[in-house]
Amino acid sequence: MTFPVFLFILLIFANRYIFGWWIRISRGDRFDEKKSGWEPTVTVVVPLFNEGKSIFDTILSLLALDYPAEKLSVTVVDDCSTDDSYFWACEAAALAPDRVTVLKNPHNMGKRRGINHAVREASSEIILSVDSDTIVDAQAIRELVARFTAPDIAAVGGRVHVLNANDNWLSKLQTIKYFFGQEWVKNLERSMQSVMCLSGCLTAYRRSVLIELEPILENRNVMGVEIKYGEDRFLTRQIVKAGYRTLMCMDAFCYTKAPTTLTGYFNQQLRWKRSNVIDLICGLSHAWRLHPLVCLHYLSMLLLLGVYPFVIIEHVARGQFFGLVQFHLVVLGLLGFLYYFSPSVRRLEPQYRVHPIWFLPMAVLMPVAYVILTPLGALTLDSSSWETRGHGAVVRP
Amino acid sequence: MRSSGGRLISLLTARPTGRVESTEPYPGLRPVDLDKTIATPPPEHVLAAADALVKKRSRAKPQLNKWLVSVYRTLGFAILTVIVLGLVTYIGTSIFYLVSTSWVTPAVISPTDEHVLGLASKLAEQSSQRDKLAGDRALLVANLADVDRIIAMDEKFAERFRRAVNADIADRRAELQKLRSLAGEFLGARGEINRSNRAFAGHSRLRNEQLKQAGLIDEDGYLSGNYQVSQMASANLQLAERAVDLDAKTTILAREAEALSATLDTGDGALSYDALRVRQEYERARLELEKARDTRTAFVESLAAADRSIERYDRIVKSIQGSPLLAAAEGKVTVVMVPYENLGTVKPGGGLYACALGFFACHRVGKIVTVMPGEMEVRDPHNGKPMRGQAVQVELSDASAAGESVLFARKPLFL
Repeated sequence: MTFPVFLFILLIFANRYIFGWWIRISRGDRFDEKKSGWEPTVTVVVPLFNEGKSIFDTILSLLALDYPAEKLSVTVVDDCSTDDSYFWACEAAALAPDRVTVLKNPHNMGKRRGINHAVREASSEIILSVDSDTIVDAQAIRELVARFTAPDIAAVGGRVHVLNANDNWLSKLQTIKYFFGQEWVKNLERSMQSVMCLSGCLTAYRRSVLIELEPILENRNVMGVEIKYGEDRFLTRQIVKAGYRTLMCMDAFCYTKAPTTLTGYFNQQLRWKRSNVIDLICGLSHAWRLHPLVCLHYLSMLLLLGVYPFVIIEHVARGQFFGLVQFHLVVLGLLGFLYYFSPSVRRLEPQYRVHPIWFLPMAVLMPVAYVILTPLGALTLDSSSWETRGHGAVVRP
Repeated sequence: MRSSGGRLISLLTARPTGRVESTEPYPGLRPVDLDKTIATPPPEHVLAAADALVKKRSRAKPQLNKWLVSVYRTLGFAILTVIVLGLVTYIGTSIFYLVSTSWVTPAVISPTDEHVLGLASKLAEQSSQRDKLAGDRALLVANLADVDRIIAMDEKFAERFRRAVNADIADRRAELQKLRSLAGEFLGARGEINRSNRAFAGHSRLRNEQLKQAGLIDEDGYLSGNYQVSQMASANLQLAERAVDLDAKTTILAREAEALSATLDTGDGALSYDALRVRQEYERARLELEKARDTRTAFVESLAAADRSIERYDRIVKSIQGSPLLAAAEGKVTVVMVPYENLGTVKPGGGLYACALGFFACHRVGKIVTVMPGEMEVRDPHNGKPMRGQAVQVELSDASAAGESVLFARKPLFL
């Protein structure tokens, strides 16, 4: 590897693990301000596609959240599931007809339009987007709405834990990956209150902002080709682009199932890669308006997508792949220690914690995923697939 | 969306397509009113805004966008195909080279080849070092001969010196013996003469007195008689002087003999000044001899070391001269590099094959001649890793095969 590539990788590491952490520490309490006592009306929007009976349990768990019942409603939007998901959603709605609404799109429109559909139907101040396979913590809504401390805060995302952390090696690996993805990688963006991607699993939006942005969200396309995936990243970016602030709240959390098969994992990674590529490229038009550090981070992430596969290919071509894997193992080992001793991990119940050694397979999985999925994602951006996880029912922990 | 109302209604009222065991899993709950689930289209202003956005964008470059998307899709398909083919090829080739033991890499060696020049330069350097050592050795040999001469001369001098001193000692001792013998005889004779002279002088003096008193002799005769007596006393005195001379001579001779003897002894003897000077000369000569002998020993050892070094250089030079690379460069033969793992497949007289498509479509391009001595570095044609191996001389019936990156000692996969 040449010197600039090393410098670049160092920059990314510094952005992720040093600058963001340092700013977070230096801001102290101001980093995560709360407004207590505010209880706006909240509509939980659940986009639904082929989740089967698990949607029934999800809806019931949402109704049981710790929030005044008269201010909390649930809207499920079925995007023309091909299984019995719609039926089960209706069954759940029948239990609380005044609080649950089940909508069905006229045809498969994608998750984003499904959310728009629900937003139009709702009348509450806050829209909480929740994935249909997600289990939301009882306190999550209170924690999220407490972060809307100013009118220009348009979205607050929650933290996602892996529900099936100890299922197998792949879920264990992803548990640690999720930890870094939320607790470290977004530190810089969180510090500047410009988080560029709030997970669709658990994010609260001001409905007024969603209504304001609806034409843009409805008309999401690139060169006339409609883009259906990565709606959460696109929506967050549009909110930031419109001049609003986006936050992440680590005290509001939910649990979601991570893929337990390589096929499922690669499908998920492919979807995320496509979303990353298209959104990072489209965001170039306004990235310069971000805080310089966030802008640098943003650009470096885009560059990483392009550079990293070439670094791997170069090593493979030189017969140095295992040297690269060794380097990854060292870095991942260090990160594993960081995970193991992190206070937020120590606070988790044992079933949601994993041994850091399970992060080591990432040394092979990550280069392979980058080399194969980055070009595949970049060259199939016009895919219209939902590529949903499609796994079975979820049991509330 | 509104124009396709019939289709919309049918979509919205459609029952779930999945298999449902029971439509009432929770008894007592009221049935679902599916009419409530009909989707609400976006409000007019949203549709208008979205349409405006679409029109604004599509007005700008509708054809260009279409064309760009088509190009992207075509390129995407082509690139992905290339990537998949590349991956399959790479994996296939990796597996092939992992198990293949028949590949060899051709190398047409030119005298101006970097490696050949390197070897030639090394050969010149080693030869020059060897020649320099040979020159040093010749100088050592000359010095050794010089030292040998010095040693011989010094040894000869020492021997002659000893002989000369011994002869001198013998002479002196013989002379001393003679002198002592003479002194003994002289002492005896002198006593006899003294006694005779004293007796004659006493008798003569008495007779003279008697004669004079008797007046038988005159004054002249009396004086003449006394004069004879004094003559006798003088003779006695002369004899005593001679005795002293003899004694002195004996002493000197004895001392000289003793001093000369001491010059040959290693211990400290009573040396005369002259003997001391001689001894000094002798000691100096002895030290010179010792020095020469030590120098000789050093020269002999240096010579042996030089001989060993020259022998080593000879081996190195011979090894370089025998290098297959140089041999190939000088003889203009074609060689192929074969890793040790594949040497078992390379048999003299065996065929050599080139393939058009990696390891497919192969044809014979020559034969193996001989395995050349000496180790060579071989590059794995797949991953470029250096490997240890040997050069093998080959004969190519198709000269263009020398330009191939890889050849095979047998048909790969029997294709």
